[in-house]
This record gives sequence, structure tokens and C-alpha cells, in this order.
Amino acid sequence: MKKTIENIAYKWLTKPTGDPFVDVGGVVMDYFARLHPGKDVLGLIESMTDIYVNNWSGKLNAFFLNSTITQPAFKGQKKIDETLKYFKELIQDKRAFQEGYCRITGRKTKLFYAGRDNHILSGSGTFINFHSAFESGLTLSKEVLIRIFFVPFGLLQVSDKIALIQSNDLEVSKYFVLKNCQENIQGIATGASEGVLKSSLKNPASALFGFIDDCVSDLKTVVDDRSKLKDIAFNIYHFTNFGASPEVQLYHLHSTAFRFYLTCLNPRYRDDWQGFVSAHYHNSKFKNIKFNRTSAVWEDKTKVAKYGEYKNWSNSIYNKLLLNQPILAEILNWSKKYPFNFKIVEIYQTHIRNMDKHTLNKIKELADFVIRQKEEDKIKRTITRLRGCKSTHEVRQVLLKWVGQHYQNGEQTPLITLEEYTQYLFPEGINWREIRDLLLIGIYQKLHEHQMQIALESSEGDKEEETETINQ
Amino acid sequence: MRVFKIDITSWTASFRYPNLISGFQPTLEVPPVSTVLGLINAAAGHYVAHSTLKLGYYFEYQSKAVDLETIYQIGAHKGMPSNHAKSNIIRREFLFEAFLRLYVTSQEVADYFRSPVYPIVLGRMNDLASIAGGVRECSLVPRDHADQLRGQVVPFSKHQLPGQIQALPKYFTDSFPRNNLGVEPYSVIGHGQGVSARLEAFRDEEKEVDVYFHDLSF
Repeated sequence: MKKTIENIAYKWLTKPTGDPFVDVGGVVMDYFARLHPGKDVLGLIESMTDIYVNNWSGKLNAFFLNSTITQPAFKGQKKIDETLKYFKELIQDKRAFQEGYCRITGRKTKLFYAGRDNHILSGSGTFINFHSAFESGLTLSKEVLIRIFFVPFGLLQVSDKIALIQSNDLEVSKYFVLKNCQENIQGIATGASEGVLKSSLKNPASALFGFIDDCVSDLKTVVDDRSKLKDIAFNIYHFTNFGASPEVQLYHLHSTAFRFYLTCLNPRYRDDWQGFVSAHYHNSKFKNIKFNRTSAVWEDKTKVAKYGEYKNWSNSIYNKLLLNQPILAEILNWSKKYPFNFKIVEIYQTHIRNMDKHTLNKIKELADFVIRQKEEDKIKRTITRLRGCKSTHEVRQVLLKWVGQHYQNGEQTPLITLEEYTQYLFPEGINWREIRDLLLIGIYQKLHEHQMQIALESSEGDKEEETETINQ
Repeated sequence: MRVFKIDITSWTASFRYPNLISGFQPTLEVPPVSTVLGLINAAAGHYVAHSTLKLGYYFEYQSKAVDLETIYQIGAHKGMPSNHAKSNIIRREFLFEAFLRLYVTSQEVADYFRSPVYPIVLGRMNDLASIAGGVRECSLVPRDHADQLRGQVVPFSKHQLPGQIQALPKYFTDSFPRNNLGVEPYSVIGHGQGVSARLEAFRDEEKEVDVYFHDLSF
């Protein structure tokens, strides 16, 4: 970018600020400046305006309300002229300003008012009490307002709103924006870009995990540095600044959930994980469709949906990971039917549910004990009793019965020591359902490992458990 | 390090994202530094013009929910409020069973909380809070490599810790209109999951949390 204008603090056109929208605008400006090295700020604004108006027909309503581009009174060239006039006046300090500290960059400089026409999800100018001290809007530096103008080019529409993915790893945040910019530029070159980039994915969770998949395979610099990987978290802003219904929904994927997800993509666990996740897609349009695990497709009498299609559907596992809700009930139901590496359950429980490793080791030992009974009928009765448990007391009764059996078998060491019982299986605050579910998952996995087929009746308790977990 | 601990509790709390004005009002999971300095002012009964201040804090809550709230939108006439107001319903996220622990090294600041002048609120005026257990003096153990950073905000630029990333102010002027001071990006780290980082922090064994101290100068 050429730097010939004195009234601009160029550093602040691209420097990270912590504000998700402004930072997206900064990355887009940087990208655009590289595309047009001979242009100064106004030249870049002119090029962007040309795209917004001539390629996208001014369809920026999800970002700006009644701006020089979106207000219906301006048509065609008038949109461009008014936009350039506004930014020229802004840069030359010809618009009303006051001296103070920019509320996004923290710099002491000239401040200009921002409303929903030039900033995303600001307050309305119509109502005077949207801002402190009856001010006309947020007070921001011109550099911030310029950056905001570039935001639409770096984001994409997911369902009916715009999605912004922000990470504490600046390279990851940048990657998301640059990917969108590149797709936009390609679309413009081929004449295919007619508005804000649209994702085929139907909800923010799928968009995030889709992005992570791309990111993991493409962004080698980040992924290769294993030490950086463990602390990456994601924030998604799913928003619209449209008309009378501005809205924003925020989602946060914890670094622990990201770490867990990355581990699941490891070749050792990938097949088990992918099979499990694939079986949890759903689409309200196809009510009777079922997942065929062998061919990894969703099908019914008339429809076959392959991965390329169903990956765009909603996925309850991704949704729950994003909302930090437990997925143990789903793992339990899945384990009943299919082998599922218990190591995934261990990683999930220790990383995300903060469970002590000793608890998991004990659960594996107990599952071993159940399977050692050999007689299918006994194993079946044990599973049925465990599935029917409706309280801590009932789970404890089952375990105490096992302890008694173990003792009567003449074993040298106790099945459960007093310490294990009090500190690891039933410490204060433990959720008995979690222990019960883990025991069942452990037992099912052992059955799969030993290739033992036991005809289990469907239990009322299963349905109840599922409902209770969802409501947690 | 010798510090004064002050515990503040409330049924509800909400800490707005500073620049999201329209639509849904989400809450930050931890109050910004400026909010905590506002609490100190409320306890003091006046605007405290700190030159420097060493401050740490830890915030936790039991659950998060969304409330429906009636707001009144006042019309404008020549830059002044008019007689026209209309009501609207917005959704505001709030935190339930909030707990804030302040750690200050200044005896003077700690003393403000022995007999607060104005009510203490953790967010808006309905998020009324109380000081639980008075002011206690205790010792925190330094840690070079903190692994239980949670329930606090840490400047983002140097450490890039995971959390909600937001540009947040440190303080406000006492002018009218108020101006924000010292805005910079912060990692807002919820209390649920501890983060580790190579930075100097102090362990509060009671809460099993590593507390980052903000060295503020104005």
C-alpha cells in the first residue's frame, strides 16, 4: 500500500486490536493492499466499493444499515460517489469529530461517531439513550471505521447470518479471513461472486469444524508446532446487522475441546471417531433416513446422501462440543452397537470433563471383571441391572454386589478398595450417571473386543438417561 | 506476596461486550479491569485517581442463562432527549451465583471495602452484590509457570492465551462524557478450565487458581 496521506496512522489499519470485526477488516485491508500495491487507502476503498456495488449490487445489508451503499435512496454510481465522499471527508477530518481515546485501539486521536451504518451492531442513531451520555454513537478513530468497511469481504454467510471465526492464534484467525478473500477474488474473476460468500454448511458448529478440518490440513505452520496447538481456542460470532432485527450469537470452542477433536483426527482414532460423528448428522427434510455404517452413507428407499452432501447437515456431536455439553449419552448408545476405541472416551473424560485418570482405570478394571464372568446370561443380567439404575444408591448396590462376588471367588486383592470407592468412584460432587454410563461403555467395548454378541433388550432407562443428559 | 483479599458475591452478574449495542446482549465470563476499578470507586465513594495500582482478581459463577428485559428507547430532538419513548424487548445473557475475589496490595484500597459508601453491583443496577467475609490479609505464593489461570482477564498481546478475545478498557475518566482509558486486547478466561502460560502469577491455594496481577499506571 502506498502511504502518502498524512492524516492516517497506517499502522492502525492492520494492527490486531482484539475487536473481532476490526481485526477481520485489518486482514482484508492487508490482503487488498498486497493485491494493489500502487494504491493508497482511498484507492483501496474505491476498489472495494466497486466490488460491493458493481459485483455484489450493494447487498451488504447484513453488515450496514442505511449506509451509503445499502440505503435504498442511492442507486448505482451514486452509491460509489457517496461512499467515496464519506471516506474522503473522514480521512481529511472534514466530518464532525472530537478528541479522545478510541474505544477499540485505545489511541488518543480524533474520534468520529459510529452507528449501524458504518459499524456492526452499534446503537441506533434514532434513539438517544443507546450510548453513554446521550452521545450520537460509539466514538472511534477513522482507522477503525475504514477497517470496518472491509469486513464483508473477509466473512461468509452461514445459514441466515454471517459467521466470523476468531482464534487466540492470530495465524488461525488470519487464515479464516484470507481463505474467504481468496474465494471472493476467484469468484469475481469468473463472474460467480454476486454477494457475500455463502457457505454450504447450515449452522455455525458445522462451519467451525469444517474450518478446523481445512485449517489442520492446510495450515502446516500452526499444526506442525505441537506446543502451540494445545492452547488454540475459537470464538464464533454468528450475526446480522440487518434492519429491525440485529442479532448476534456467540459460541466458544475451548482449547480443551479443540485438543480433543485434534486427537480424534489422529490415525489411531480417526475411523472410530468419523463413524461415530457421521452417524449423528441430521436433516429435518429427511425424516426416515438412516446411517449405513458400512458404506458411510445416509439412505432410505429413495435417497442416498454421501459425505459431500451430509457434511452440510446439522451434527449433534459438533453442536454439543461447541456448546460444551456432554456427549457421553451418544457414545453409550453408539458403543452398544459398534466398537469404539475406549481411549477416545478416556481422552474426552480427562480433557473435557476433568475426570481423574484413576477413575477411568478403575472403570476399565470393573468392566474386565464383568466380562470375566464368561457366562453370557450373567453378563446380560449385570448390564440390565446397571442400565436400570436410577440413583446413586442403585449404582452403589450393583458395585457392592460385585465386590461381594469378587471376594467369594477367593481373589487375593479387593475389587474396589475403600480409597478407590470414596476418592475415585464416588467422590463428593460426582455424577452417578457418568460413572454408570462409563461402566456400560467399558463393558460394551470389552464385549466387542471379545466378539461376544449378547441380545440386549431395549431399556426404558436408556431413553430416560438420554433425555436427562440433554437437559443438563 | 502479602495481599488483601475481598470476596464479593451476587445472585446475578452481567458484563457487556463494550461494542455490541444492538440486538442480543451477551455477557463476558469475567469482568474487565475497568469494572473492578469501578467497584473500588463505588466502595470509596469517590473517583479514585490512581497513579499506579497492583490488582489481581478471580471470578466464577454457577451457570449462565438468558433473560428477557424491557428497555425504553428514547427519541432525540436536536441532540437532546425528546418526550417520545417506546419500549422494546431484548434478550440479555446473565451469570448466576457470581463470586468475585479481589486481591490488592494497597491497604488504602482494601479499607474502602470495610465500609463501602455506595452499593456494589456486578454489572447493571439489578446485579446487586455484597461483600462476604470482610477484608482478609493473606500471602500468595509466586509461580513462574502458571497452569491454573482461570476466571480472569490477561493482556492478550504478549501471551495470546485462549479465551474470549476482546478490546477492553482499564479505566474511565471522571469527565462528562466519560472517556475510556488504556484500551487493549485481553484474553477473557472463564473459570471452567485452567490455562497454562509462562508468566508470573500467584497461587491462591484456597481457590486453586493462579492469579495474574495487573500493574496499572495511569
